[in-house]
Formats: sequence, structure tokens, C-alpha cells
Amino acid sequence: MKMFKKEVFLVVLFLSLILLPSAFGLSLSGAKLGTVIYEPGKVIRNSYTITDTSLPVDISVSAAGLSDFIRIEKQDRYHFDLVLEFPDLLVEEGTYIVGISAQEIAPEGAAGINSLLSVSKMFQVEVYSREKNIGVSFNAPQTNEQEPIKFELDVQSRTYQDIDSIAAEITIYDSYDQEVGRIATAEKPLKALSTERLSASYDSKDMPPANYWAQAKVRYDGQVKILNDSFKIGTMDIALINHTSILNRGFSEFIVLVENSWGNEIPGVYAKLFIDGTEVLQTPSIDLSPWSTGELKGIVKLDIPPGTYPSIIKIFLSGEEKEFPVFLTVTDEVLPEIQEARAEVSQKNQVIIILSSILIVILIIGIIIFWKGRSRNDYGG
Amino acid sequence: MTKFSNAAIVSFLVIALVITLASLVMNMSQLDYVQSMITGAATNTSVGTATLTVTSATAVTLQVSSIAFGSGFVNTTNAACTYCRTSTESGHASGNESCCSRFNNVTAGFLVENTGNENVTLNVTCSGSCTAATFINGTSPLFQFKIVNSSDGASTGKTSNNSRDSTTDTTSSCSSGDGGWNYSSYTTMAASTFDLCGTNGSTEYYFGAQPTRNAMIMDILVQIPSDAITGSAKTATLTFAAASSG
Repeated sequence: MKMFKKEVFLVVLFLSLILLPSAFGLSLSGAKLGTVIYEPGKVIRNSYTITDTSLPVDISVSAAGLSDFIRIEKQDRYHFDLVLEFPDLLVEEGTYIVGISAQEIAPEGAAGINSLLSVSKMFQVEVYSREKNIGVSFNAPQTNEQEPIKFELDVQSRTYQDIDSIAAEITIYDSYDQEVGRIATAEKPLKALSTERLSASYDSKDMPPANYWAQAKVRYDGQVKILNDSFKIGTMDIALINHTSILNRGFSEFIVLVENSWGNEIPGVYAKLFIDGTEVLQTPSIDLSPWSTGELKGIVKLDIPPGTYPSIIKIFLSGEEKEFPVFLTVTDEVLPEIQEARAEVSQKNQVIIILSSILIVILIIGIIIFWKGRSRNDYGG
Repeated sequence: MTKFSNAAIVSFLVIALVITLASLVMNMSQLDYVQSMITGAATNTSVGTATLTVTSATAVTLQVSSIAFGSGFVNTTNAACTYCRTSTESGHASGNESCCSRFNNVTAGFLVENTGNENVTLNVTCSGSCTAATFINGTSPLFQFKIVNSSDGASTGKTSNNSRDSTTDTTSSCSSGDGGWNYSSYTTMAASTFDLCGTNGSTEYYFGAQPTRNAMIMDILVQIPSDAITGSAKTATLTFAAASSG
């Protein structure tokens, strides 16, 4: 009888756990609209699904300024379509925010502090200008020396009128703002709401590797937009950006941060460190992606007295080498980051030891219980 | 040590099997909406076209739908009891336990999770009896709320209800970069809208959707004075509203 009661209790507990009420939720799913460009006469239909709730839901749409052209068509209790039906006449230029909301409706007779959920999706409708207008992005790319610079401008129509002509004139300046040269793109027409690319290629043979910037004047039917962008003329070279300047006696890590000044990958880059004329480190090699930075690092062992030493960092790339004279300080003090790292390792070791001990104790107890039970069974049997 | 008979073990297994099968059938029947969200099935046998559409889901989940402090009274037989103060953060106030006669000792606040795949703004609107005077009445009643990160419980162990977070949060779930959740200390409830994370109607979608940073807890504190007028139970309805880009 006692055993039966225990079984009933366990079954009830089991069922209670299984049948515990799940979370209360509300979800509104549908394809993302993002930014909708207003086009006269255009119709957009987007479907939405409401899930996760057991309560009735109120669906609403807010669209100040556009409410006459946006409606909801319910399919069933939890499915509906949002329909945007733009008229042939233009509405006022600007950005309109549209929101679709699903909100739970409270059941009757609830007392206390209750909760409901509401979820919304917001997107914007862009109504472009009646006047001629464009949006432009300008790209002056990083280029290797002796290679042509390919300037590109993406011009997007932001008007409901065709533009007869778009063209750009690009002026190149060096880092001292001295004009280096000019180039013009071809002229093109731009249809309403469409996008065109303007491009021009400039011969960089007289431009030494350095930093430059360019200014693009984009003309469209008598109007102008001006944009700037900076770029580099690169050469197969490595620049030393930073390096470890203080080293501990004994073992410590030495890091050299280098930059690829070239528009192609440079494979097999490594560094050697010489302190007071003696080679103390050669780092493993790395491949540097175009225009990227990378770390060359290794562990150095120093047995020299504390002090400041004239040193040389040699960077090796594609059969060439570059020397950078530097001064390094050797110290006896343990650096704070090393102290932290040691403390962290020590803490981790303690945790591992404690966990291992607990496991061993549990194992021993388990084995003892198993053997005791077995010998009792043997004795009983 | 009590031993189960073979028959009992078999009966447990049969019950477990039946529940598993029933759960399977129920879950499969609830999954029809998934078909409209992600489809990878070929449309016919002669042309192997597969389509994949990932929809944008704006979703929030509540682990607790209501907080019922229940019916009770302030134990005025103890002269020191002028009120009963209780909160979902820590239950009946320390030292005030004996004053809260028969009120439920609730220790689970509203745990709100962003369970969609979009970051959202989150606000809460109270309707009904939203002031202490209307919800409780009497002399110096309190009806307050505060917001805490679900992840705070991991370090302090004080956050109520965070154990029900579906994936334990490890980071602040409102990454506004300007202090995270608003109302992080107890604030008087009102029949109003409170922007909890990001501003309502803006594009400040700061309440994250990543499982380890997608939950917050609203704790409720009430103080019932000894002279609170007895009467019918009052209702305050809190509507948590999440909005995403869509």
C-alpha cells in the first residue's frame, strides 16, 4: 500500500511537470519591407501571421499621412495581409512611418495585476521630390602604384522625373591639398527612380605611394552635388605600426604590429628581434591580406641585466627585409598583465583540483555503495 | 531501500511513452505556421526548385501572466504593524512579515523575453486601477515597479524569477549604450506609458534578440496600509509593447 502511494505521487508529480502552463507569448511574422519607395499606381501586398497567443488579438495599422492608401485584409483570426495601394497622384514629399500592431485583448473578469502583450512592425515609405534630385555615393579605391585608379559614382534618382544628363568631374589632391590631376566621367541620362554608375579611370604613373583624396562634382540638369573620398597609392611594403617596448627578464611575449601597404596579399611575413646586436627572437610567419594589419609575435627569453638597449626589428617579406632601429627596456618587475594572467591560471587550477576531488569522492562513495549492496544481495541470496 | 516492482516500472514506461506520443502529435499540429516561414521542399518532381524564405518575427514572451498578492489584511493586533509591504523581488519585506496576514508571498516578477529574431523597443502601459490610491487606497499606499536585467541574477542571485529565462542571460539585454533599462529603481505606477528600452515610435531597437541577452524582469512592490478600505479586488493591466523594424 505504501509503495502504491509512492507510485501515485510520482505519477502525479511527473504529470504536473509535463502539464505545467507554458509561457505566454505573442509573435507577428512576415517578410520585411524595410524602406518602401512610393511609386504612383504601385500596389504592394505583404502577408503576416500571428502566433504564440491563445487570446483574441486586435490588429491595427498606423500610417499618418498615408492612411487612405494602406489597409488590412484579414484572412482569418491569425492571418492577414497589409495592402499598400498608392494613388496615381503624388502625395507630399517626405518620409512616412507605417506601423502594424497586434495586441492581445484582455479576458473578462481578471483581478489583480495582469499583463497583455502587443507587438508591432515599423517601416518607412519614402516619397521622393517632384523636383529633380539625386542620391550619390562616391568611391575612390586604394590602388597599387603604376596601376590606374578606378573612380566610381553610383547615382540614384530621387525624383519622379527623368534627368536628361548626369556627369561628374573628379579632382585629385595630395595630403597637402595640392591638386594632382583631374578627370571627367562620361555623360548619361538618368530615368526616374533608376540607378546609374559613372566611372573614370585615372593613370597614376606620376603619383608616388602616399595618401590622397579626391573630390567629385556631380552635375545633373544644371544642379551640382559635391562628394569627397580619400584613398592610398600603395607599394609592396610593410609599415611598422607598433611593438612591445618593455620586456621582462626571463620569458615574455614580444609583439610587432605591421601593416601591408600593398593592394595584394603578402605571404610569409616574419620578424627577427636583435637586442644589443644579438638575435633573441624569430617570429612565426603570417600572410598579410591587402591593406591589412597583422601581429608578428613570439616568446623571448632574456638573461641580460635590466636597462634600455638599442635594438633592431627586422621584417622579412618576399625575399626582402626591412630594418627598424628601436630602443627596448628590460625590467625585473612583473608587468600587471602578467600578474593578472598568473592569478587567472592559478584560480582555474584551483577550480579544476576542487572539481576533480569532488568527482573522485563521488566515485569512491558510489563504488562503496555498489559493493555494499552487492555483498548484501550475495548474503541474502 | 524501497524497490519498484517490474510492473510499476513498465507502467511508468508506458505512461512516459503515451505522453511522448501525445506531445509529438500536439507539437506537429502546432507547427503548420512554420511551413509558411521556411520552406525547402521541391515544388514538383520534374524540376528541383528549392526556396528558402526567412521571415522577420517580432515576438515577446511572458513567463508570468499575472501577479496575485491575494486577499489578506494588515495584522493590527501587532501595534507596530501600520502596513504590509511586499514585492515580487524579495517577498514580504524583512521585519514586516508578521504584518502581512494571508497575503500571498509572491517572489516572481514579470519576466519578458524577446523571442523573435528582431531587436525591439519595449514599453509598458498601465490601464485600470494604476495608482496606489485606486489600486490599494488608505494612508500612504505604494504601488511601484522597477526593471532589472535578467542577467543580473546570475551574479547577485537577487533577481526574482530569472531562473525561468529560457536561456540564461549573461549580458544586459537593453544595449542602448546610455545606461540600459530605464526605471531601474522603484518608480510609482501610473495610468501612462513608460519607455523601458528605447523610445516608443523611434528606431532605438535596443532590446536584443540574442538568447543570452534577451530578457528583463519587472518587479512589483505594493504597500497596503492598515486603514486600506476593504472591498472588491481591483485590476491593473500592464501591456508590454514591443516594436521592431519591419
